[in-house]
Amino acid sequence: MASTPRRFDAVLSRVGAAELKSMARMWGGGSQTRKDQCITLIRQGLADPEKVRAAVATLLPWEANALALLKAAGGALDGVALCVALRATGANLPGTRTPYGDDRANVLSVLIRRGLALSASEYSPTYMHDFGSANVYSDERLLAAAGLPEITPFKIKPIAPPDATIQRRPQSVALDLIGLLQAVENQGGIGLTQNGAPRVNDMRRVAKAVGWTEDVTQIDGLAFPNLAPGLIYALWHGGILKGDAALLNLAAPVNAFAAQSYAEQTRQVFHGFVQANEWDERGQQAGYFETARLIQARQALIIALTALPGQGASFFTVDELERALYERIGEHFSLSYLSGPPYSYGKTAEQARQELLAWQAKLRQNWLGSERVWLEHALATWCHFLGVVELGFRDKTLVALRLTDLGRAILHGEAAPAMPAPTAEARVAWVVQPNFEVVVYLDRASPEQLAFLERHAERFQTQQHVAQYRLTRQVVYTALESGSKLDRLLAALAGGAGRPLPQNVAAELREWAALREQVTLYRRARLLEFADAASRDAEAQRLSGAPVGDRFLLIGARQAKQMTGTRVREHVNYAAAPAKCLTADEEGIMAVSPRPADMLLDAQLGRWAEPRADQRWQLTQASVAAGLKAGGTLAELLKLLADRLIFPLPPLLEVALRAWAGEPSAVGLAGVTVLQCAQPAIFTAIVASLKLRRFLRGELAPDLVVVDRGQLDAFQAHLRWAGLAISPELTVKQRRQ
Amino acid sequence: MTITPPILHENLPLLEVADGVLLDMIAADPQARKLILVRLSDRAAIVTPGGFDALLARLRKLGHTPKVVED
Repeated sequence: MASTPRRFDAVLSRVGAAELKSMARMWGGGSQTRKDQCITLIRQGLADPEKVRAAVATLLPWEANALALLKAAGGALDGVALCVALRATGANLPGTRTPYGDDRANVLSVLIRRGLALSASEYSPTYMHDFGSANVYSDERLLAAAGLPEITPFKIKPIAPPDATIQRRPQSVALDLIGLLQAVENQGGIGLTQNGAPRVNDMRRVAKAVGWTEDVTQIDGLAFPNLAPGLIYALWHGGILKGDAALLNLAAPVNAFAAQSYAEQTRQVFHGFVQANEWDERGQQAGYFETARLIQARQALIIALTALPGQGASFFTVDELERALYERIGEHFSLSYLSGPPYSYGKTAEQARQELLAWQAKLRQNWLGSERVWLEHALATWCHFLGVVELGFRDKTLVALRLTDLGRAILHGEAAPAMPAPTAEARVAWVVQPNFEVVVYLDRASPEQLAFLERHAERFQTQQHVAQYRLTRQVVYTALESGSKLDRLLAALAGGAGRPLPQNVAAELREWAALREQVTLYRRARLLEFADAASRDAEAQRLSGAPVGDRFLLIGARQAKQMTGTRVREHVNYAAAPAKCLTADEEGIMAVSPRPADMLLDAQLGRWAEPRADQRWQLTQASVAAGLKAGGTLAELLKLLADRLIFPLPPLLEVALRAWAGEPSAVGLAGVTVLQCAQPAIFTAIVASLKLRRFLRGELAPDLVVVDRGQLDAFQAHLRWAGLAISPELTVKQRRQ
Repeated sequence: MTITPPILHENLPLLEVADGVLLDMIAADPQARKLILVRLSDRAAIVTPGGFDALLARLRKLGHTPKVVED
């Protein structure tokens, strides 16, 4: 879901002349430049890295910040989120909020006219909605020349470290991220619905695999609602998971993720959380308008954290952080409806001032009830979970925070003090106990070692400095099935322990691996079927295949490719539709002709039919009942017949098969006396007659009515009275085949 | 000796065990038996078309750790 790099070139022809002239100024255009010339100038300018660098160097600070923020967001960002983020940086932006317009008019339209951004709408690249969410993006070549955002530090003072603080160590964060990725890999990805959303049941399975089964997971005693879905969305937005038409899966193997520095691992997820508008820190379902506002709030939060003085190394009160952020964005952002400032037209200066103060007081009150609460949730959920902040508490209330080393590395990049780099090489990091438990010292383990353990053992406990795993047959089997080798497993376990494995552990691991060799399932085996054992044995060595039974040889793909032309008598491909070789009659007799070379037919028929002479089989009530009793279904039988029959199944036989399988069906059969009359007028006169109604039982057809047999003589008398000649014969039609 | 050319069977779902007793044990399970179509020998059997994944799941459920050869 990470945005792909974009360029302006393709959409410039859809930009209006007035905007194009304005955009082209940066590249030497003027008011007299024609539209096509403007397009050429812009394209040429963007294609020349020197010109791009020179143009970016002339930008106003807030414009340069806008580019930097778009760059940090991956190239595209919700328009309002960009404005809120710009406000949060402390930049001096053009325009102020008025009753008539907000930053969309003040800021975004300026960026578009300056040629720095366009609306993500393909058909209206310069149009910005007055409501809802709409992304803006910049040309990748402009972004390449952009720097880091300039963020004015808040004027707030550090406090003494609180007595009670909590923070997550990078190793613990890495462990959780690697564990979740391993669970996704083990599950073969997460299915996507037709709407492109991850399947809820698949996410639940992943959550179960990592032990986050509750709706609210406690992380160091802090509630994290919907942790697994939130993290999955963050990994997706962060580009660590990627989705295709139907599946969300790892963009790169777990080991590749683990090989990165802790800061790089966490940075991707941190920025992924910013964009994960499908998830809400407060545990509620994000509404339509809130999805964009969550991104706006999170953009503002990461800038606020970056704006902590001294790179946030000291503790600051949450109150001061929140107040400082409010002062920058409070009049421009709300998670719910944001009212505009009051109109001053026709009012005295004093009236206007009083109404403005009242509006500001109301905004502040709303902020404390909504945005302040959200801020605390954000700090206590993803910011803490990812180890970005250390939180200080007083009486279980969040009161202070500071950035961790990991947080500074993420938010301040190279300007932050270097974090100790994890060592890629194997080192002593755990103890393997005879009871198959592995105690891992997180300080010593490299991310690769953690990834190795997540793949080959089952984590059952994680504490601040220690994680405990258990080697189980199931996990080792899963790892071997996904390509791990026993030798590497034994060597890596012993290497991480710095000593040989306990003998019973090594022996048991070998035993588990050997057990896997006991039963083999070939999804697409290639077998050569010989006329007899002697023929097979004569060819076995030359073809380097494995004998199966008396007459078969299991061969590989390479050997199978060589078996063409006259080297084989026949070639049966079981991935193709089975050979149609059966005819069936209404008695259920099935004849095989021509006899196919596939090895399935007899066994398939034998499940449902009784053998008869001359390659014939017969479906009987008893044979079908036996097939059902053995676990077959009517659908399987009908599919077999559809696959194998040369002509359609006789309908009467299908009726019988369905009835034998227990499908309810019934027909009526009784002797009746009927009156038939081919002349509609006479027939209608009889069936509509009040006098004759008592003799009739009901119509069978437009010319056929059932007569009460007990009153037949009386009825005949009435017909004769009416002058009708009564014939004892009926006219019947044979159904055409 | 003149050898009659063999028949090449491709893309055939196949179950092979190290010991014939294992195949007997597997076939003793009604759900697994339904998914085994033809026994080629005491140690090998053809899996019912479309039944490969179901048999794999069943074997795992029964406590086996089958090695899966995809290609």
